[in-house]
Amino acid sequence: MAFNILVADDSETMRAVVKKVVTMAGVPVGQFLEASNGREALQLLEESWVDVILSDINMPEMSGMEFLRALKGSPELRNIPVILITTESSQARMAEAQRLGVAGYVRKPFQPETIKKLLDEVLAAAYDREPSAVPLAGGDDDGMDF
Amino acid sequence: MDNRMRNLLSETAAQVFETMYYIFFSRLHSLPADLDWATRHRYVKAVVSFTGKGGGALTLFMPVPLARMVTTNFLGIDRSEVSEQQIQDTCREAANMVGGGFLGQIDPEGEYVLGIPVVTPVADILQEPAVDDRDHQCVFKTEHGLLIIHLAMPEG
Repeated sequence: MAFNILVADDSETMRAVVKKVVTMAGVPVGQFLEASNGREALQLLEESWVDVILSDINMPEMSGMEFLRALKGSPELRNIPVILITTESSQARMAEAQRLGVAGYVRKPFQPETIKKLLDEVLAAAYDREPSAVPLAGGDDDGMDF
Repeated sequence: MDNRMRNLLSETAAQVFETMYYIFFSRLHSLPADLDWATRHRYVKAVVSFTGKGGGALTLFMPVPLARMVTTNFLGIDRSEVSEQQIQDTCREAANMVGGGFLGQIDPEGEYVLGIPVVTPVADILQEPAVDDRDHQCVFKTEHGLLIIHLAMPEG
């Protein structure tokens, strides 16, 4: 099964990096959709099927938390697993994200392996997918080239 | 800025630059007296403001060669392929990560709310008030010039 993945981040470079990490993680990707804020992400969700969402919090127009609230308030979209990739590290906001049902979060700065591991866990829980056996870095060369 | 804050800010910046950009730096006590650092390169500044508890702003001043190297390493592309837009975007993200990481440590309750970072070229680094405000800045030496981080927030 190939997964349609939506990445919401106002940084185009960050979206490119996340895309690279997901690809290198060995996750079979059908469509890779990109949005620069929560509003754009909601629009894309009206037009396309999405299996998993990776979202930033600090975005203009509609933040990741507002986006998460909108998702969880929608009967059609509430079951899509959401992973937050964010600089946000306040315990209060992370607790709120958990209450809203976020599948997990990765704090920036991140190691690519952290995203791979969490994505594997989330896809396994949501879709019974076996984690990828592909290591992000081969052998002793642990230098990611992004 | 007291030593605790200074150390937290330095550690956060080091973590961001080392983990995401493979840029390693050493800390300096202050800006060098020799102004070669200011005249040798053009600079860009990335400012991220925050609200709550009186609010404030964190500013990163980066020489263009450092900004370019950070972007190159982040995207994993050739130096010659890096666009101005990508440099600005990466500098914004750097300010976002340093600001978010720092505030998360001093404010676990999440009263501070980070704004959207803004990047602008600096016409003359020596005319920037934040560069003159040495009590509220951290200075780092990299292979690609000096990184200056200024923190403006109410004391206490």
